[in-house]
Amino acid sequence: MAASEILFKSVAELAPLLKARKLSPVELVRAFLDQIEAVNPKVNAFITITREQALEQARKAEREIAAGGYRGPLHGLPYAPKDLLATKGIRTTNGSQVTSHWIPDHESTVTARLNQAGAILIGKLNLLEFAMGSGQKGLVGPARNPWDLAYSPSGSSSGSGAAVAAGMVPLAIGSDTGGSIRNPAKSCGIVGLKPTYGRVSRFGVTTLSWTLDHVGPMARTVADVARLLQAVAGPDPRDRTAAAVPVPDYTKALTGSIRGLRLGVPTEYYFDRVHAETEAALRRAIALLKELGAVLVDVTVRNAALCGVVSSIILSSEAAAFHEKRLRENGDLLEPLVRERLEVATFHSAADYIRALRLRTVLMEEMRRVFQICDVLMLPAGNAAPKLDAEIVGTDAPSDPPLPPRPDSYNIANVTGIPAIVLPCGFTAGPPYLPLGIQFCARPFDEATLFRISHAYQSATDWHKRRPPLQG
Amino acid sequence: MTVSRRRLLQSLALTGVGNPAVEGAEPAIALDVLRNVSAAHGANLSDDRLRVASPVLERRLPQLRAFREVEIEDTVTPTQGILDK
Repeated sequence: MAASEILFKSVAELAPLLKARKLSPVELVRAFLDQIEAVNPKVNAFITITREQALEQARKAEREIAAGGYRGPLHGLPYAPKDLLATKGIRTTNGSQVTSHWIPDHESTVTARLNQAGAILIGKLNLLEFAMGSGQKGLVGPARNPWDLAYSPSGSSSGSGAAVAAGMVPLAIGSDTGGSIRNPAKSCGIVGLKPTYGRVSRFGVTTLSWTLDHVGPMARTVADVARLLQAVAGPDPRDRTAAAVPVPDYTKALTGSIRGLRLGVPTEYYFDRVHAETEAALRRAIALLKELGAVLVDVTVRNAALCGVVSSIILSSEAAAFHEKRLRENGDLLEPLVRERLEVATFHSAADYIRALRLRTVLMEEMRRVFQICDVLMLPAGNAAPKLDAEIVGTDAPSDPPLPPRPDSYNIANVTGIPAIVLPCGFTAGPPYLPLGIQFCARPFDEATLFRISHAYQSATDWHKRRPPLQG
Repeated sequence: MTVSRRRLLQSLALTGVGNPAVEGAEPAIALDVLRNVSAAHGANLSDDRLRVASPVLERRLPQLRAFREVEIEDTVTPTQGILDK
């Protein structure tokens, strides 16, 4: 099989080939390593490439499968995590000079579970510094958008979005504190899921904000994201925020049927700053979902405008607390924007933080009300990717007035803990031809319903099958 | 469990949303004030760092003021565990 065919196949297509020994894990890993070698100098998605270890693991997988020890649908498949997930014995930089030589003595729960499932670590992915830097700097420079190298892949899981879109790895892990999985997924034309708070363990994941951070899967198809979540979800004694909630079989949600599903569409606020081209793509997607059987419901999210400042105060206060020692001892090594944000956050009072948590309670109550009248809430996923040199502000960073506040379509899910998924729903008329995304949110721990509606939409469209013009 | 919608809209107006004229209307924060607050919070930022933080804080002040003015019912408690599990 030609390497170019392998690179853009889904897990659903590759896994049976591996299981039936029609494709060797070694052949597969080599194809992706070759693509990384050819494309990464342009896209800059990887900080570290674990070539030798990956090939060694691939040979081991090959032996295991040949001996009848097939572990499941991820066995023999390459993956890469954002470089703030600790990997034992492998450098974990957080995209920062401060931790550029850190070699953890422990493994994050997520990477441990993927390794246990037989997936093969192929490298560590670029990101905004500590998930809160600018889109322009970082330890190794910015990742670039494979659809147009002059554009940003968005952050902070910038390398995760870019690597999957460019066919450098089929499965990636990102983290999301205010949209950092979903925004790059949108900008790179792939699928990204922020699970429910507590669904996926954060043990071994460098903190940005204890109560807003989430870890989640990124891939080209909804089905692949579902398989990846299946492997990493569930309680973890090493993370007391990981919930003891049963993990269902997500493949059962991939039915293609959404008849009778109540799809909430916001009637105000969230579309306010969405470009006409993006809104048109979203309206077409909504119309298609209605054709597929969804029942459209008008929804108003009360107090939606509060979410931005609530998120900003919680995030920056917790980040300043987490980085207190780093800021004091290594402030000079931090990217200027990161340092500035952490220092400014030291001026928040405890009363501000508690007030933000009280308003968070109000917003969570509101989402409970919203999900009594709909099963899924559709929200925009922002506009197309910005130019790289225009992206001063990282997704997870608080916006500084006088920059106009954005519609808070991402961080409402972080503030309230509900799951949210983004998938491609069109492209700009171009040039440049950049992906556009749609977002769905659901009740806590109801990722299955997100997979149900997203898979139905993806089965009826082909946006996810397009490949960026950048090839090796 | 609500906050006053009228008050919220007033507050948003205070932040300068849709009204660029409001931006920059805040008086400058004296360096001495920042130095004292920073010391009280235990951060002890240098004057050089305070000069970096100062314009950002000044820009944010209207938004923070609006945030602090949102009325919340007394029955509303801070979120503890963020979800009922």
